Amino acid sequence: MEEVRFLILTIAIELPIALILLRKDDWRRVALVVFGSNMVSHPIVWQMIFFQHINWFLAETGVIAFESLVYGLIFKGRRNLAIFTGISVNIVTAAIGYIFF
Amino acid sequence: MKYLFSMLLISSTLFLPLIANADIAPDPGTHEYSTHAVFDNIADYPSFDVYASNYRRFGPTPIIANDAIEPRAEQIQSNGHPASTLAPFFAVRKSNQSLIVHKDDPYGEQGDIWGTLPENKQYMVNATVTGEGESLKNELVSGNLPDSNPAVYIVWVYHIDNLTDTSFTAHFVSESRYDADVNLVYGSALPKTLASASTPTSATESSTTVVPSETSNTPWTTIWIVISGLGLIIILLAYKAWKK
Repeated sequence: MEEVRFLILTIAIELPIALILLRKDDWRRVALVVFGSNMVSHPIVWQMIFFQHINWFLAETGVIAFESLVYGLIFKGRRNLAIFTGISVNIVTAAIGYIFF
Repeated sequence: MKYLFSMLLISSTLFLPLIANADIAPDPGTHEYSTHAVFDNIADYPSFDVYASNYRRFGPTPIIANDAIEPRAEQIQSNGHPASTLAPFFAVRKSNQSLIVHKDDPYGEQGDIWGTLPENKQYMVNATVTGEGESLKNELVSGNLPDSNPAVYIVWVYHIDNLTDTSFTAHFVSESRYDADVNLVYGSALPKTLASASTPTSATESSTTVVPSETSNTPWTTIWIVISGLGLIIILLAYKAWKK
């Protein structure tokens, strides 16, 4: 259940930031991307860190790269901003996770 | 350009302090121990209880073990044995065995518990905290806790690898605590094999329960594969629905 809690917490932090940064885009689309990218990356990174014992920085860097790619791919018209959003939200959650957990 | 600049700014304000801190606190919950280096580097692990001797102890408590300050003589004179007041047991894997030693009995003079653990598996240790007054060995061996504080079960999940004669790496995974009635009081719930454990009646039952990770994680692995798949579908839907 801890994994689910952290997934929900991650989305709860990333969603408002993404909605603010991508406020000119359809909010439903932003929400879908936040939910989708986290649902894909979170279980994988959880497994990597806690069960495969991959270096935390390496795992988080992978997540940032993956989610930024997804953001950039979907928000084609505003690719730079989208990639920036993908990187920003994940840096924030990674930092919060590192400091508090 | 402004996005790149902002990105660098955010990275520098968030990641640089973390990187700078990395040599003090390595990966969360992952620590490399050496029997000779532990005391030299103990300041590097301020939040972990580390003890190095013939055996090694570690745990997620802010207590630094030190033979010099351990009041063993006083404890023995007043209680007849090292007290065990709400002190944790520590489990260390050595070869293919686990060693349970008491915080106040690092050399195992009051009795150690050995159990067999599978090689290279994640495992769980079910430890019991008891009170003072009775022989620790008797408490451990017979499960007789006549004057104990209410028993608390502390379950730490570790993965240990790179084990040699002089060093090992312990990956702390989680901690959970149960009261005497096996109600969860702290941490996340563990698989039923541990949570449903009754009051211990023997040394083995009271101290060590081995649960290979593959068994306990199988349903969650499936659930997470499903969640990841759903996430992928959501991304594809978002991509297709707004594709122009």
